Amino acid sequence: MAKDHDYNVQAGEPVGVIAAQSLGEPGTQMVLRTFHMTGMAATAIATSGLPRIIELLDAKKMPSSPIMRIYLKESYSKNFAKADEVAKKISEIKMGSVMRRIVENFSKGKILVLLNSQAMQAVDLTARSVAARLSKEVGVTAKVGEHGNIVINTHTKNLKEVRGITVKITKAIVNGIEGAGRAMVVQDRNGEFYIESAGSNIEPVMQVEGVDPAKIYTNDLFATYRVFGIEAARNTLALELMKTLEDQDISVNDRHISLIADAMTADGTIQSIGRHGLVGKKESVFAKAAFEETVKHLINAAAFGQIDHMRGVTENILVGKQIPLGTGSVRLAIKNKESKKK
Amino acid sequence: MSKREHDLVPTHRILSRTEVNEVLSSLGITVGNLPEILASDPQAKKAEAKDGDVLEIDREDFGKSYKYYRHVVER
Repeated sequence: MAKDHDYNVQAGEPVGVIAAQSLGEPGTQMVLRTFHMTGMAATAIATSGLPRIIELLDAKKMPSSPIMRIYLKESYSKNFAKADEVAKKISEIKMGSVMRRIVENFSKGKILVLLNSQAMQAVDLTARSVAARLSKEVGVTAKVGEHGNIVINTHTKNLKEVRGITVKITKAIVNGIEGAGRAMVVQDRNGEFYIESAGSNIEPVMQVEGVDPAKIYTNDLFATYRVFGIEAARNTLALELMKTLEDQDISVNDRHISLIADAMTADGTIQSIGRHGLVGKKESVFAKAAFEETVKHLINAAAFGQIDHMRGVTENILVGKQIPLGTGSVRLAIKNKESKKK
Repeated sequence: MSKREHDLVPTHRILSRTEVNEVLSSLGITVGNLPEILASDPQAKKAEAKDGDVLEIDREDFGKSYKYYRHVVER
């Protein structure tokens, strides 16, 4: 019968290389292009396949398609109407998407915003709430005028300033949380409602009434790192890698994924794999020189009198020595009476 | 509400001197070999860990639970 320790790795096993190969080979079979699926919820637009893997390993500051999954407190998650209310508080709507036209009156320093009533109804907004939010966001006095239009007094007659405010208004957020994107209520298999959104900004979302801050999920590694720390970021990284692979029906043993996630977060921050991250931190001059920018590294090392301890793989291959892996990692074996007793 | 109670955040605990020595000798390594966590990390702050401490992390990783250790550093 196989015992638990039979599955442990042997000392000197190159686990990192094996992890890299285990992820690299399936990578060749993955879709190279970001593709879109039709008829699915907001999340379907998410970057998937190889581009997403690269994004994760490069530790990009912001995912190209950020996503949040917002779980709700119990009293909200059972009730669609209540869940929808929360979603409306979060869902980010820009002025540009609910207006028809914007007219500037430079001589009076006023701006008239003609609203698109259909678009307004679709997202349940009133002219009054839009005006209130505009006043706050842009710092002008916005009032509801006749025919439900919004009249803005800029308090200035300077052409440039008025135009500047117009631009600000078109870009202003009139509902929801900045960066949160379009939020939608989704029902899971157990019949509970949660919110999916096509943007990410977890800090303010966690403060929203009804949101369960202990369950909020974002694919934005750095946001998780900022708010919850390195361990949560590591978990997100591992989960995202696993999910991306599974979405393409590729199964990679979770040990490899865990190891990669651990390596990327080993110094307490999220490091990318490559010249600017893990490889760049390599101690050996030869290893760095063998990778990229050979001359630069050698000249620097010579100028500063650096020492290469020849402990890695690359530098030993380079000079023709045995590599310190597997049987090569053993220098001298001593039969120790004490270790035998154990 | 404590941020530590997030699903993705395992519990972080500061190890005492003797515990640190036990862990290190059982693994046959020095403190410098441990993975690091910044003293400014939200979880390190929550655990009130200081530069030089070792945090024990109760990991729940793909259904396997094990202990992970991080050395607190100030950078």
